[in-house]
Amino acid sequence: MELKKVMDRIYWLLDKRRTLVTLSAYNGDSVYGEKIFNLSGKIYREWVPYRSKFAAAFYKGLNGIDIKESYKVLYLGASSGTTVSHVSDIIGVNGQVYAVEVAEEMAVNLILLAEERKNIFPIVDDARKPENYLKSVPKCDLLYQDVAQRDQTEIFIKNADLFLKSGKIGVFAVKTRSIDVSVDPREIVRNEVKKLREKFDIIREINLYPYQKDHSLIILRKK
Amino acid sequence: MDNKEFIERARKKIKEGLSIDDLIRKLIGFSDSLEKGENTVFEQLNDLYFLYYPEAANKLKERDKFIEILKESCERNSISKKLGIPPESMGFDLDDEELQLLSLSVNELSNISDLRRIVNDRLNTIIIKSYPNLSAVLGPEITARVIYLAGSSYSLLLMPSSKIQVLGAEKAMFAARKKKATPKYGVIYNHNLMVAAPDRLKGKVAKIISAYTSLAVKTDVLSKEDKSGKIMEKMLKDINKLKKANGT
Repeated sequence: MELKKVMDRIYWLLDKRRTLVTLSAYNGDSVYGEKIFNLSGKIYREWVPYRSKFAAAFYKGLNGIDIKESYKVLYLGASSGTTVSHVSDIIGVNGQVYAVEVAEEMAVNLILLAEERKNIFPIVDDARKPENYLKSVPKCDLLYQDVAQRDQTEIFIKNADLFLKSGKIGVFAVKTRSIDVSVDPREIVRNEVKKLREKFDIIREINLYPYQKDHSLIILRKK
Repeated sequence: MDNKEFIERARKKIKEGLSIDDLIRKLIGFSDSLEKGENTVFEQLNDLYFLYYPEAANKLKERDKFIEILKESCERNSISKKLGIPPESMGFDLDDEELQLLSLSVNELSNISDLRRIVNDRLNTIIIKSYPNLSAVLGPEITARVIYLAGSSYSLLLMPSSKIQVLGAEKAMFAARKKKATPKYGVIYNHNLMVAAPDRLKGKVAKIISAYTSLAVKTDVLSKEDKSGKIMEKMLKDINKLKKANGT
């Protein structure tokens, strides 16, 4: 097996098939049942594209994004912490990922994860009301959102206004099916992008098929 | 910077956020899957019994009756007395060990059945205690179902009564976007008053019931008083008025 670097702490593991892995920042426990690789003393965790939209974007040709060690990340829609655990790998022990999740049952797993990984800061709150966690979250270097709500674009803009440093990257996962089921998905993405144009430069838009159905990942830079 | 403070706060928030609705939701899911398992096991067992004693298996197509009769013994002789059919059979003769296996399975099925009944009883008690008004209007089973579909009593409170009316008929509702007419009722179709109503009035009765459901859930969540008598009286009056106006 051979490692090919994508960017800091993210690698392709080249075997018969390529596998995306992140260099584990903490111990080598499996968080959600992913495979663990131990290569010359370093522990790598598989990043499964079917579970994580961010990983799917790498499989679909994303080859670099402005995220590195000791970054501060605001993560909206953390769910049970699948992707969050990999983000916490990438930013390392000196980074901070503020993970916002509103559903209590999902957040339980997130909190248990945060007890093991000290760079995860769980927040049980509604991303629609960023005022609630305004005091506890500092300005961030990356905003990642995956909330699958009808008004997710508005949520993104609101949070980016308050927390994202200007010139930094926002990653925005659009679930077209939760915005409108009857309209063509491409149409929806176009409309959402139009709303975002005022405050952001659109860098790239990635359709995540076949790893995630009806999902697109939009990468933006705040003006 | 340490994340202990965040964890502490989040833990507290979850403790506050969980409510009786979550328990209700989980219990319904549990009861549903018990029933599903019960039915699958029953079908297979009935099929197995058909091999041994087809004459009896054909008469025991109902789950509860099947359990009741086969619980003590599976042998042809005792069953034939209970059902009043001759013990001679064209089925395949099974050994004692296989018969034992059969009765073990029937007992297990009966245990699952009992468990589901206990779960449902407990669920009903919880619902009548925490939602007196709502359970008076809908009955405990439908109340549980409605809360399950809405997610929580608070989100049920926020729903307009027209949405409560079609809760559980999402599939038909989506079909209505394209061609068909909108559905008239969802889970409230099993309500006692709905069953009693004539077919042509079912839609209107559903409308009245859902309107009072909306009222009852608001009373339960916001004022927490038991005004079920008053609400029921008004609802029955409305339904009688409707029936009179339509000549039944």
